[in-house]
Amino acid sequence: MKNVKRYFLGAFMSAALVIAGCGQAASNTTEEPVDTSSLAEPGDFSENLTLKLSGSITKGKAEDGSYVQKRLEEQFNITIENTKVDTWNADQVNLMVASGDLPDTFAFTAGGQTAQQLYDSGLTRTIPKEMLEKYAPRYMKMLSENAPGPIMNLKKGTDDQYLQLIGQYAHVDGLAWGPTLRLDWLENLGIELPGEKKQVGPSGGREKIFFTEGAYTLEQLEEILKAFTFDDPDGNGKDDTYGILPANNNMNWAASLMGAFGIAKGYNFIENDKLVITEISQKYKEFLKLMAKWYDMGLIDPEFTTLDEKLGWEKYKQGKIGYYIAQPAYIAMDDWAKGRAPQNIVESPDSTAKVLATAPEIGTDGQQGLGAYLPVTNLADSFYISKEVTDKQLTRILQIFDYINFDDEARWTLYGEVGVHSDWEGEPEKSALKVRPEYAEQEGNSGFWAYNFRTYSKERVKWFTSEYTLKLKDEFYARADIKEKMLIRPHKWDLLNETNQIEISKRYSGQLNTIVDEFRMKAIVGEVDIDKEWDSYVENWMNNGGKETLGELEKAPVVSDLLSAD
Amino acid sequence: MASETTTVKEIPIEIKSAKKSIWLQMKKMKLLYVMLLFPAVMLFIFSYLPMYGVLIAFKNFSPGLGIWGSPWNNFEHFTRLFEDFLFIRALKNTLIISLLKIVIAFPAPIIFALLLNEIRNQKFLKVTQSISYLPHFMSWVILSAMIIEVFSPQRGIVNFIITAFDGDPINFLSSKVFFVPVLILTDIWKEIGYGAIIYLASIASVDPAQYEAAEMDGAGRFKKMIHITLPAIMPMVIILFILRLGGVLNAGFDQILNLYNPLVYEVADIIDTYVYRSGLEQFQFDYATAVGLFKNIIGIIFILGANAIIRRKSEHGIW
Repeated sequence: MKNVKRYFLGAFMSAALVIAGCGQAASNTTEEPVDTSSLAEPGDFSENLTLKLSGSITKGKAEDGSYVQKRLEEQFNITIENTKVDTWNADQVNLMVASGDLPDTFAFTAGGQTAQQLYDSGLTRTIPKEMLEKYAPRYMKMLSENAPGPIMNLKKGTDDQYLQLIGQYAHVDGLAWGPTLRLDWLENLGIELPGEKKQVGPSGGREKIFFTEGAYTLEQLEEILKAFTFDDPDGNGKDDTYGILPANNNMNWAASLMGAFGIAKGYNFIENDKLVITEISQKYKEFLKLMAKWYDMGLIDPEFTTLDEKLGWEKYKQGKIGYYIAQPAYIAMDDWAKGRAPQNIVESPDSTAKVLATAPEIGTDGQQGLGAYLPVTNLADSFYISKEVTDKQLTRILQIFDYINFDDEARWTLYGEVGVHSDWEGEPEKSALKVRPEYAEQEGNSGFWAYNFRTYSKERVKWFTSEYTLKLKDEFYARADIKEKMLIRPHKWDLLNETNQIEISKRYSGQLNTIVDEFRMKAIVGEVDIDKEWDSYVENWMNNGGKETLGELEKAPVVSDLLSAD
Repeated sequence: MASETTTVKEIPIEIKSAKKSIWLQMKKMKLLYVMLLFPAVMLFIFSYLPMYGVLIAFKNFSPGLGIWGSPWNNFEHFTRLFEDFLFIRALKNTLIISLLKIVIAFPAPIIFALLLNEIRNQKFLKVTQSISYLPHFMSWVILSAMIIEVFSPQRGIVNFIITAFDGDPINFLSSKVFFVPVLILTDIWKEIGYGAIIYLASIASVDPAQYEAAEMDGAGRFKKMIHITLPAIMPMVIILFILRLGGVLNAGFDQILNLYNPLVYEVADIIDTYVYRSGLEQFQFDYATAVGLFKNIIGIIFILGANAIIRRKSEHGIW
């Protein structure tokens, strides 16, 4: 028996050692300088290479031998191995990263780690600036036009080694959200509109959605919500309507309301000569007190505590809510926003509802606006190159990347050939492109979007945005003076990864979010007296990671300095 | 085939011979050992080898460095657990919800099985059973949407009844008082039918002669249920009870994640939901593993403790 035990123990230990040995060794301590003269010239694709490519839109559904795959393989003399991982699924992504088995190129919509963490873990390689200039000139041009792009994502201590590639986010330029009100209710109640109204579009439900550059003040909005709640705005003789319906899982619903207090979720600013995070600021406290007052007055639908944003859209569709937040594409009824409030109330041809989008509410001190979608500049997202990729492979990868993401001739990688695979929704070159039903809209047999990165120039935004959204953005939401006046940016931001903010966030964000979410909900529904409990809430926040968070933030650069870097 | 039969027949003779070495015995039974080899290897590969991964509970796990290569962190994850007041609250909530489920929800399928056993109309029995099984096969994502509607303060049937009797509507799913009872109730509703199957199988094995003898002695249906059926399924009840205790720190992640909101965190945030928000969503597999290990150790302690106590009081138990 002793012998058997010994054998089992020996076998177990051997297996453990074998597995331990399988763990990859630490890497990325140094990088050899690249001699680009020894690499193939741009356009020299004489040698066939096998590449495992993945983009940032892929859900792992690209079929082998798709239209885009074949054309790319032919054009760049490569053999593509498709990745079958859904990059929108955080669990799948996290498991893939944890296993270390990554494709040659990858980007994630959900999950994953930061560029620094992936690099420190030995999973990615750096991308030399020299190679980018030689093999991805369009990308480098885009970076130089979007300050401080060229100095973002550099490996610490270097000025020519990038940890990742980054995307241009022209589609989120301007105000991401704006308030809307039920126009038919305003008319029924005889409430004056804040400005001249314009129809968003001529048909398809858009004729029932209007927009005005005018804005109500918070006081006026309160009166309107009161009338929406108590004056039977739909004229059905029942007391069954509410002014506003928040969501219990995010703060989108309050974007412009918080903006009227000069604050934005998760950002920071100077208050009483001290750097504060929005959620522990006096301005946020005042915002919460107003929401608590509205809840107490009965203007807020009490069911919001159990409804997330999606369930909120469903409830709005029932026609009992008067105020809702919306993105320009929602009110322009873009395809991807179908079913979302407030456009879902007018979708049916029989609907008599009308919606009015206004400019953000005006606060007591005249503040008006909302948090910028991206804190500093419209550069975001991450495209990584695996540690396993050689310089030779990287030259080919960069050329493919540069072509499919930054050369507008490569529109076929997203929509195929116009007239064969897709058609313009309206006026050619001025409306969105629609893929014909016989081809997969994304991936599948067409392979569209399978290898692309989420980066959109203004030109590319037009390909997937309706002319009505573009018009709304041009006329108001992304107009230069509106952006200047209404976009709220944080005071400081660690854009260049100079602090330990990521580690601190990883360690404490669970605790801090719980404390903030819990207090916010309790404050709004009146379970806590905001004035009495405020100090202990802030103390609790500070003692559970808040101090460390603020400490790191202090070390970060000032956003206005970053923006003036150009 | 003939030689196999011979080998098997020789087994008792060989075992009786204590002086023979274990290797000789194994040689004699080599065919059986070969048959055992495949499942043993499978068990080793899929159940034991992955346990090696538990090491990351004691390390700052970095995928590129691998499990062994990642640096040890001096029990940092465990220290963090017990310094975090939200984890302590989650532990308390987990124990309360889990123990309530054990006390209230665990006996429900037993009682249901006993009642089903008394139904004489076979058609009615089958319909009842089928209806009771249905919720088990639906995920909490679907069920939670139904539950939110049923308990809605504006449209839900429960509040419809309350208001019909001049009561004020109650927001059950946002109430610290009502949230946990709703959890228990919906858990019973979901699992009562499916959970009763194993007890019904146990009941089916009871010798009918016992019932006949009890009837001769004048026992009614209730007496037969209490004195024959219930003792007959008691070993099964005890085994399932001990196994259930092993999962004492599993209070129903899917159910709670789909039903709770920040207003009821105080009573509903359990270890799994808290770790999901603070650990897995932040790519902290090492921290989440430490929590999992903690839960497993508590579970093992409960199983061993319960088994020892039950063994002392009766002849039943897992081992």
